[in-house]
Amino acid sequence: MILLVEDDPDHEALAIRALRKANVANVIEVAHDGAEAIEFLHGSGSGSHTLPQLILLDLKLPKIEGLEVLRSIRAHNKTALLPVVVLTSSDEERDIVSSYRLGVNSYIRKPVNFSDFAEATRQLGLYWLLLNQCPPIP
Amino acid sequence: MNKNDWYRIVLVGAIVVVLLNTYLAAHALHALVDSQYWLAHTLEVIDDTEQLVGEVRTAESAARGYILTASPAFAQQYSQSGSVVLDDMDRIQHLTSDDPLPQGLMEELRARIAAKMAILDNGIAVRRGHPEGPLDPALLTAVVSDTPDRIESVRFVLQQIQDEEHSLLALRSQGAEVARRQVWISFTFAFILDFVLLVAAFELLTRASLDKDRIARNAAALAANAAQIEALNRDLTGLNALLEARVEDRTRELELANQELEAFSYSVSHDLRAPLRTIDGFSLALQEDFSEKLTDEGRDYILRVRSGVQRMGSLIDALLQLSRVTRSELLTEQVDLSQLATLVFNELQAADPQRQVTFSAQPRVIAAADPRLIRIALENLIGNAWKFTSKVSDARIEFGSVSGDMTGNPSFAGRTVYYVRDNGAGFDMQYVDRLFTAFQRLHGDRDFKGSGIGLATVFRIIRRHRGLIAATSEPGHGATFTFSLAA
Repeated sequence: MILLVEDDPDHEALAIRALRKANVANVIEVAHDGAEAIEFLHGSGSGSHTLPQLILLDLKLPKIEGLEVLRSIRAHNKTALLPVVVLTSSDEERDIVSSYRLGVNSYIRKPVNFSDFAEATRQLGLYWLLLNQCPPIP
Repeated sequence: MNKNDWYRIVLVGAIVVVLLNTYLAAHALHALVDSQYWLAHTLEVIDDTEQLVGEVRTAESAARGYILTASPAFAQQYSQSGSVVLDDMDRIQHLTSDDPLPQGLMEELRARIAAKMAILDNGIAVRRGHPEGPLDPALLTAVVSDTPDRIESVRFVLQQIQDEEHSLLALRSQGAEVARRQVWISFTFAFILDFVLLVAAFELLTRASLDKDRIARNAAALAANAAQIEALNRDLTGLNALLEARVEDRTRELELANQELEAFSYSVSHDLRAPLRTIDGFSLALQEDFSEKLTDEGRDYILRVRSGVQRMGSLIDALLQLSRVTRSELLTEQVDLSQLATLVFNELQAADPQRQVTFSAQPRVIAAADPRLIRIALENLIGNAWKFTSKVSDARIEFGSVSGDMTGNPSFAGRTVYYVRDNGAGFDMQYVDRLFTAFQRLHGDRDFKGSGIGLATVFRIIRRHRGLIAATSEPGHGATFTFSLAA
């Protein structure tokens, strides 16, 4: 399962299309803001489902910022080792530095050109879901 | 050396001159007294010789008297005169012992007087043997006839002594005259010098007291000024506080504006790009999923939509870079610009390996600059050169450094300048003023793609380094961008 944290429905649709085009068959859960993402991972209902294999996290989110979500993921023992890839429009240095400081696994800037974005998504799915050996989920 | 030191040196010099002069005057005076003494001495010798001649004559006439009269009174006078003659001779000898008289002159005088006296003694002795009776004429003749010759010989010697003494007298008079003149000169000179010193001392004292007056006047004026200055100071302190408060206000405003600008840029980078990606994404989906339902024209439209989106994306990127260049802190260090230029060129070549461009960079051009910003500047300048040489066959790009005086541009005089030169399309110098303004392009997109922000970014980077940038070109003959750095 992949958790996509994305507030823009257009981008959500495009990201899911790109993942599907790249033959990613995993279930894709979507959280539309930071609060929803935290609720999904740590909330009362989180016991009823398994944890995602990969979290794709946008930084600019309503309610709770992406960086706060990342901090929360790393702060909780259960989710501390989950692979998190920041997928954002920003290439501001402070965002990149803050993300890595908080222990992000990868930082990808969404290119405006959608062909490039589709290619990036394809590689991302291939790498994190197939090639990369993830730590065991507690 | 200050004024007081000079005064001290002049004073010491004056004292030395006065002492020297006093010594010279004393010396001259001493010489004068000496020569006066010698003058008196010589006159005494002459006097004594005259007296000696007189005494010898007295002795002679006494002897004659005795011989003629046999009177004991003459005999007594003769013996008296004889002892006086001896005394006189002793005294003359004593007096002339220091004089440079011809050798043996005194001995000769003694001998001649002794011979004279011996004849007179002989006459007297003969007469004593015959105290009574007539005088033997033969004897008398012997005594008398002998006398004139003998007395002349004594006179002759005495004359010689006197001549010597006279010539000595002339010499000594002359010496005394010289000494007197020296004394006069010395005293006159000393007097003039003392007078000059006195006048100088008076002048100095007057000046010192004038200075004191002036200082006193100045002090009064200063005291008046001090009050005025204090009043001005108070005003100034008030103004300063006001100004500081205003500066603080402005700084706060500026900080706020900066924060706003930063927030704006941040959201531009996110929010302006997001819809672009949506447009591009769905255009692509349309192209991929519904291609067969579209005509060629429809597919062409999609391509145009997507290329417009690309262009917008790169414009946003360029704008972000421009704003980042202004916002980021300037961290200068020694940067090898030659190395950096070569690196930038190599990246361009790697991205477009088909192109043949000759690049040359003058080695070891090192300058103090912010390495990140100066890299952006070189990326833009060399990137431009790369772009505008795309239509020439033997493309060349050069990087180097020269003295600003060589550029002929007065703004660069006395500074080191760096240049990026190409042999590409160039531009019309008529539009050079628009070159460094954002969104101003001198070439249409049909010929060369561009955002119109690159050179504005370079301009800001150079400005942030407190440098200047200028461009020269001729259409079709390439362009040269020259800049200085003063960070």
